[in-house]
Amino acid sequence: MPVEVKGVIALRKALNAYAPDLAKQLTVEITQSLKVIQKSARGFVPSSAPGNLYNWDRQPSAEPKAFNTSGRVRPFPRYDATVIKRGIVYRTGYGKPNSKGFRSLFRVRNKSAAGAIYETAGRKNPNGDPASKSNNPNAGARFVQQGPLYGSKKAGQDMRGRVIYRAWAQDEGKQLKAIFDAIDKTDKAFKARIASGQVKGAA
Amino acid sequence: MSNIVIDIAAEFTGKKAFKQAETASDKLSNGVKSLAKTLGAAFGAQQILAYGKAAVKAAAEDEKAQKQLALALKNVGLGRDAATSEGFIQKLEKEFGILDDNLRPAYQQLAVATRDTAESQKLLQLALDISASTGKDLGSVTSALSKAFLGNNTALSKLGVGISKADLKAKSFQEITAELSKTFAGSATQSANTFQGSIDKLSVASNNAKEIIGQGLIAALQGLSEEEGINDLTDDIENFATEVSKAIQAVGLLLGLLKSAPELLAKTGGPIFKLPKAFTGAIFDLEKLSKFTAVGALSGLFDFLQKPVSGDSTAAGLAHLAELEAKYAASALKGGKKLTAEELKQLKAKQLKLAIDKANLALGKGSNVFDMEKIQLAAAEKSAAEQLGKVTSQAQLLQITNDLARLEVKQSILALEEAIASQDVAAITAATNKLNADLKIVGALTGQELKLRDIEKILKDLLPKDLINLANLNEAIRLLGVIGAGTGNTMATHAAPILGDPNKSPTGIPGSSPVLIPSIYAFGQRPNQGGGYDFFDPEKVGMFSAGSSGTKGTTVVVNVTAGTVANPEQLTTMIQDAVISLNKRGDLLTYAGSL
Repeated sequence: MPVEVKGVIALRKALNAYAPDLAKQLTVEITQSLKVIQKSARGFVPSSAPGNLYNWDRQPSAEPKAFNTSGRVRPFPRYDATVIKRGIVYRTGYGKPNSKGFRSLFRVRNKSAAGAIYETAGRKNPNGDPASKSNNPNAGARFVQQGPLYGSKKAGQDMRGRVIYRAWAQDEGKQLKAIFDAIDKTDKAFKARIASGQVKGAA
Repeated sequence: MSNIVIDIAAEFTGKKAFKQAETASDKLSNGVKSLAKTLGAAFGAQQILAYGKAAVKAAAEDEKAQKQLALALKNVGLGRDAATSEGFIQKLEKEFGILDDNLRPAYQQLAVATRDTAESQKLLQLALDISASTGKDLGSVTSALSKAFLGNNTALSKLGVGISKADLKAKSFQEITAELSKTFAGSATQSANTFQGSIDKLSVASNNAKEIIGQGLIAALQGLSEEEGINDLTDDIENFATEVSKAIQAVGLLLGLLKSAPELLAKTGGPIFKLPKAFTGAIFDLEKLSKFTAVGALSGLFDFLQKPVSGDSTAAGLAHLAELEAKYAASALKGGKKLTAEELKQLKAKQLKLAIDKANLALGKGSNVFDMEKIQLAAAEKSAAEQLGKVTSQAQLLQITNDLARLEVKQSILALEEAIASQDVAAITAATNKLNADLKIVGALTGQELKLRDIEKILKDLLPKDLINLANLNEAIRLLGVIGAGTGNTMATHAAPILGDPNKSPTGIPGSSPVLIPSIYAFGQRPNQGGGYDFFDPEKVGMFSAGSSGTKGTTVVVNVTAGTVANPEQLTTMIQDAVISLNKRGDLLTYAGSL
């Protein structure tokens, strides 16, 4: 579960309106922390497809139009370390509220399809799924054999993985603390400006 | 897209449903407020005029649509159901939040096609459901249903209502409508119960309010203008708005006038241009009162206040005001002349008093410098100087001139006293001026005398002090002789100290005994036990033996045995080293190797 905070959105709006330099500084400091996670996560991406996962990174001569018959129309995502690394991104802008009313403030994302597979494969069926209609029903077990899932699983959210979740787990909250320290520091600086009357237009 | 993401931090901002509800509530609130805002926001003519026009227009269009529907129903033989149809439309409008402006044409189209009131109402209900479900506009759905009723199902198939072409061909219209009713049942009701439906209902209510207001305006203005045409009515609306605007301004002017009324009353000394009558005429203008009652009355007041004050009703008031002003001006002018004569007399007295005061002041100044004895002395000195033929110094000349100026002052004083006695202002003034001029001269001369005195004092200060003169030298020699020729052990008497005036010769040697200052007599003397001083005796210090008068005071031999800082050998060595060093290195006076 992400850490729930209050007032960060309001603070950033106020910074954008009355102290753009502080807003930029805050974004830079948060970005630095997120870049640490991003760089660490990219380091966990194997350069080639893990062993025993034959032909995952091989381009077939005749690419099928769909990898299953459930309405998906795109081919199965091939393993490409470059694409996976490129797909590990961070965002500092707050997004739309989810169904529960929470808006994400800062996040790291593994957005490529192959990266998502490598990240989460084996979560649900670490021993494989004999009932699966896949060509490789034991893929989950094979993934788990290649490398364990790092992170933790809690009620409501499974944060186990091999790339970004692993990087986040190994960071042990250092970057999270750095981000909140940056927010606190910026908040204090902004309040100090208001108190000293350097912020025009602020009540 | 995958959703592999780490949300590092999140903030609760409220659920989406809550946001929607809040937004919808805001819309409702804004919708409710809009009517009030539109009516009461601007207490000005333009807004009232605009809304009035819109209301009248809406009411007129509504009336026109009603009449057209009634006419269409009458033409198809449903004239007796016109009222029922209108009621049905009003019910649908309130229930589903759809404007009657849209419902009437649709109902009219269906009525023309079916020529049956019940069937028309049933199809209109179905059309509303289909429209709400498919999003098609009511006019298109109604048109398709009308055509389908008449056997043309093409338009119905284009609506996309889920009926295949085969069914459309095979089934009858009743079967098709039954299927459509089953498919879209409750869609319109469901749509009306949504937030959007609520807003639509509010909009309908607002428009109905506008139409009602417009109808009221039309009825009122028709009654006021006694004319039937809408064009004339809109003109009347403009006039109405203009009159309202004038009324508002009239209130402000009236308040301002009442505020300044006391000043006007005080100025004129009575009622101003018969204001009550003028007000009465304006406020109770029967013609305007019959049109707009209070508004018309205030507007009339505005017209009255804005018009130049030249009407018949104010002519008497103006004449009265002019008369008052003329009376006041004449009175002020006449009084002014009288006052000028009195003031002239007072002015003359003041001028005389002022001249006498100035003269007394000058006399007071003159008494300070007037001294007969000095003048007489100066005259004597002047006479002596003339006898001598010339003055001996600048200070003497200045003193004589000063005394002459004082004599002039005395003469001016006498002239001024004579002028005062004659009570002649001009003579007093002239004598005063002359006296002041003479006093200035005396003052200037006195200043010059003071300056000369200052210069003399400075010169005395600059002279060198006569510290050493012949008297001092003689006295010093005499004292030295006394010291050198003294034979006694003590001085019988002491000389007076050579202090104080350096030019004064010492006295009392020998004589009385002044106070001694030991330091003065220390030279050649020694203090004795008796409190006196002994003169210097060489025998006491062993310079020669007592009684040897042949050598006493003639020759003194002093042998001094002085040791050296080193023994002779060391001294010899040091001299040799110095010579060698000088021969080697030289010094400032001797170059190296010269020895």
